[in-house]
Amino acid sequence: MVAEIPSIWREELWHPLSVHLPIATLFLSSLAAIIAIVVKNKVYKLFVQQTILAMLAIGVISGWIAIYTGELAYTIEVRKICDPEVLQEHQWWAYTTLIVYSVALGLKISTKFIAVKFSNIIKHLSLFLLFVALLGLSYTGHLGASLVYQQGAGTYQPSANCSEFAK
Amino acid sequence: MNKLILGLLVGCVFFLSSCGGENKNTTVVDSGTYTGILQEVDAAEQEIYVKTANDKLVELYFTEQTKVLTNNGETSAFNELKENGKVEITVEKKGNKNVPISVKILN
Repeated sequence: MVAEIPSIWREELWHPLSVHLPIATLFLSSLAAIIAIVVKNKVYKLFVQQTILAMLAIGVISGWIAIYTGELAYTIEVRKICDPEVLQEHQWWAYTTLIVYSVALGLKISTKFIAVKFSNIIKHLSLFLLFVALLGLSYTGHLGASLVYQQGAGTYQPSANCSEFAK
Repeated sequence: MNKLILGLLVGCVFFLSSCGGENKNTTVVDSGTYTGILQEVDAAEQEIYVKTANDKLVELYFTEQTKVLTNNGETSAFNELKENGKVEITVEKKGNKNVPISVKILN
């Protein structure tokens, strides 16, 4: 009997579909925040500041979507993989990292509505959070990669003779 | 400024550690049969936590093959499992997890 190739649209695959946009944009927001420290030119600085805000906003919104799809995938994959502890740790770091990024976004937005003397402190605080969150993002990604490439989470193992792919 | 950075760092450590409340201190036990108390029943995840007689907390995700049995061996359903109820679990150790074979309701 020839095995059937599973659908590419199965529920546990919505997570890898949705997770790469927040990874890229949140990474860029942190990177831009670090670059902003050394940029002195006013025009470039404005561009970098706007990049931080835009990337952060896209990253946080798409990040919470990725958390939702991650929860869907969790229910399925926790029963299949050999070490669920890695998945639980991945989940914990994802939530924590995204909470920190969300706070950083809230602070960034708040600088537009508060007094100048406080906005300087808040700018430093959000820069610090963006740096801390970058470490969390990297570790969450590392755990995600471990789940896929070491435990095969979400992947399909083709049959030994690849008969289901014959055309 | 240094004090501010130090304060923020300490604050972040406390914040990160406080976020970790969700992950319970569970144990992966050897394959076998154990009696214990149902500490938590999660119907949405089809998951239970059992505190065994030797004080180990075992986390079990039900599979399609997992059977729920009554005290006299008849087939029952997941929603018959109640928190603080006494159960007998038969589990298999696979990798770093326990797969539930059966859960018998003892009372």
